[in-house]
Amino acid sequence: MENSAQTFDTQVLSRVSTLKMIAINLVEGLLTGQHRSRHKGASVEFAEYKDYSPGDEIRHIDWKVAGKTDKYHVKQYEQSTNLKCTILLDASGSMGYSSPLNERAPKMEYARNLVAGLSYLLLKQFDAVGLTLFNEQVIEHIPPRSKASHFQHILHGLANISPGGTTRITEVLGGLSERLPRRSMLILVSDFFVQNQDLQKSLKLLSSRGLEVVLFHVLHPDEINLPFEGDIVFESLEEDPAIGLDPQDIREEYKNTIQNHISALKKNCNGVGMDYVFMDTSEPLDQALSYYLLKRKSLIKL
Amino acid sequence: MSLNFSSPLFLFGLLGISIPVLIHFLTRRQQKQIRFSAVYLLAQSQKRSIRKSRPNRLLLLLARCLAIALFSLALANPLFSFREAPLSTDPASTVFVLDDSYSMGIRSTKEKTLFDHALEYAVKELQDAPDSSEFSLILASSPARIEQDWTSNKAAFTNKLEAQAVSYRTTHIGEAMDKAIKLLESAEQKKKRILLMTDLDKNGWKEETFSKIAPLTSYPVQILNFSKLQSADNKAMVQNIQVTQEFLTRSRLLRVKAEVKNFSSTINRMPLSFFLEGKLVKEELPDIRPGQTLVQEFSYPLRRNQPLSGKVQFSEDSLPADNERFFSFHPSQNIRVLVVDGDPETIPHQSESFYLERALNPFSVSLSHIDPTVSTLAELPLRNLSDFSVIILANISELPQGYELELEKFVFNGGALLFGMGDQVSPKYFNEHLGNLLPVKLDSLYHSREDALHLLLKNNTHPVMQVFSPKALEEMKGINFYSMYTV
Repeated sequence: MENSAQTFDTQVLSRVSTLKMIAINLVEGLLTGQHRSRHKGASVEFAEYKDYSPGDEIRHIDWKVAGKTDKYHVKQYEQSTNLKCTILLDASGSMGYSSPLNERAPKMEYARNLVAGLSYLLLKQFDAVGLTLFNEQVIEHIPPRSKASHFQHILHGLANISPGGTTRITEVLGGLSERLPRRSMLILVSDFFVQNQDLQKSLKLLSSRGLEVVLFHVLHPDEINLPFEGDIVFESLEEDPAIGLDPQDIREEYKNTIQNHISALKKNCNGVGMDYVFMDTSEPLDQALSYYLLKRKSLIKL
Repeated sequence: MSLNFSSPLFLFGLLGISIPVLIHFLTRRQQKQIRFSAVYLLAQSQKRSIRKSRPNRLLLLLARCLAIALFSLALANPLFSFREAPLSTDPASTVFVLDDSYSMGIRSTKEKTLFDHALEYAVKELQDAPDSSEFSLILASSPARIEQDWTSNKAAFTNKLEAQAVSYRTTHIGEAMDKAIKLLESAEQKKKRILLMTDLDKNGWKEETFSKIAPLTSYPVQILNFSKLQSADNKAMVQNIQVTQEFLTRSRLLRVKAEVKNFSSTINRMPLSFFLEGKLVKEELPDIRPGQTLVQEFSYPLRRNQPLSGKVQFSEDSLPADNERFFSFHPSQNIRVLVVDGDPETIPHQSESFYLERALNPFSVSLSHIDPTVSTLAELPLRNLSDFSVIILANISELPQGYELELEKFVFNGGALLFGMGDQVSPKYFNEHLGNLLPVKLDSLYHSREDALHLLLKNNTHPVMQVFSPKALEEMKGINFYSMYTV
């Protein structure tokens, strides 16, 4: 990865890190901390073997392995995996929108920062974070890990995104819902520009799997206000046919359409008990994220 | 079919098409291409949007260009002529019937008349005609005449055509057509036709003359109407002009009476100018009601007795020829004298007036510059006193009833009045009726019974006497007077 430190706004990371994300719903996990778990005392998950070194607890030595190999290996457990969180980032063409009018950060840049911020935050409180990139299908899947070094993997994954393809969120979610651990957390970052897809059905499916889902709806101001002037041929970033028109003629109608789109999505989320966060890329990311986390914190029932 | 333009200069207006094209390209909002995420939402919005999108700019451009093109073409005044295949290889015999009547002089533009257009057309037709075609020319102004018999010499015929000019005559199309048909009978080529170039002025088309032309339909007649090219109406004309000289006034007056007619239906006032010797002397703005005729009088003091020429002119309209009338006038230098004989005799030399006339004009008018006219009392009311400078009333008893007022007016206007005394004169009548004119009051008639009376002529300083030489004065002393009136 090149210049990952530059790619990600360190200011964002530091400011966001002061806030801790607290899952509201009960999540499986044993680790002591601020997370409450329904399964207190349940065994932690095996992570990997490690050579024994003095100071390690003897009860963690795998005697079966020692008997076979004559070497002492210590079983290591995912102690920090009190929350497994999979961040699902839409890497379809539409997310690659960057405004020709001003030099604001492209949408994907914003989404990347958002994901990085969230990942860092979760990792800092020893939650496991995974990253899945998708368009028509899953492009890349980084399984959730809670190690601090995992952040680098995630950053790598984020840095390598090149937006393209169409969004087929239903298919992707349908496939993923089987693979995601139950009672984990799913953060879905997308612009939700999906055509002919029953988004509500997929959301219901996720909800039924006991997943806590947070939807980050990222839109560029251009996509909300359509501020263009003159005769413009709009070429799709996905596979829609190009359309030539004067935005002035349809501006009002478009604004209504996009607002309907947003409110419908919000309504759907609320209907299935999911969090919906609308993010306008013109707002500073830390501000938007802080606002959301504070909101969640206020909802916590400790 | 061919297309000509009467004012082809206006075709440069077609260049104006470049203006909307330029505007189109300059103001063309650059059709940007934007890669956008929610194109399907745009499409949905467009479908739902009630507001129609703006008219296609290309269509708008086309409409603008078309408008300019049509405007230019309209100004250029296209002439469509449906001629029979001008490039046909068959030679033909063509009679050009050219209407050279006065009305063809109407202008289409500042420089060109309808006649010029007709000539141009004819020359072009001639050039387009195949070799060994023959042509003839008939002028249709009344009386119609054959100007050129059949010829195949294009150059000569073109010269002939170009030498023609508008006449001051009316049109006689019927007669011209009759002559054209007769000419065609002697034509050599199989293909024969008549080309009539006219302005279709009404007075040239007399039905009775056409009814006499029987085989008119046997030849193709192509009528070219040039009247459409007329730029404006003929608004007015100077119909007539009359020049008179007035002798009565202290300075002699030239009176020019112009009869002007207003053809327009709306304009009342048109400037009418009076030129003398090429200089604008006077300009009037007579008020002539539409369709009416008015006599406008100009007067000009005559200072010299040289011949004069001038004109009366209207402001310009489409037919300039009738807007002006010229005159030339030689003012008379002579003194016209009216001798009224109150006692005429049947034998001329027995009348006193006979001798007076001889005395005034002994040899000829050119020598004495006095032009006497003898009249009797009865003829007096028929005379126009303003034609004379001097009136001599010789031995009259009574003037016609109320005529003394005429005489007073005559004297008042500068005329000279001389009374010749005689036996007919009644002092009572003279004192009563002509008292205003007489310098003295007449008393009674005095007869010298013994010797004749003579003039003394002692004091000859009076200006009247200056003209006489001393010898003449001596002679005058010898004149015998037998009676006189006392005052």
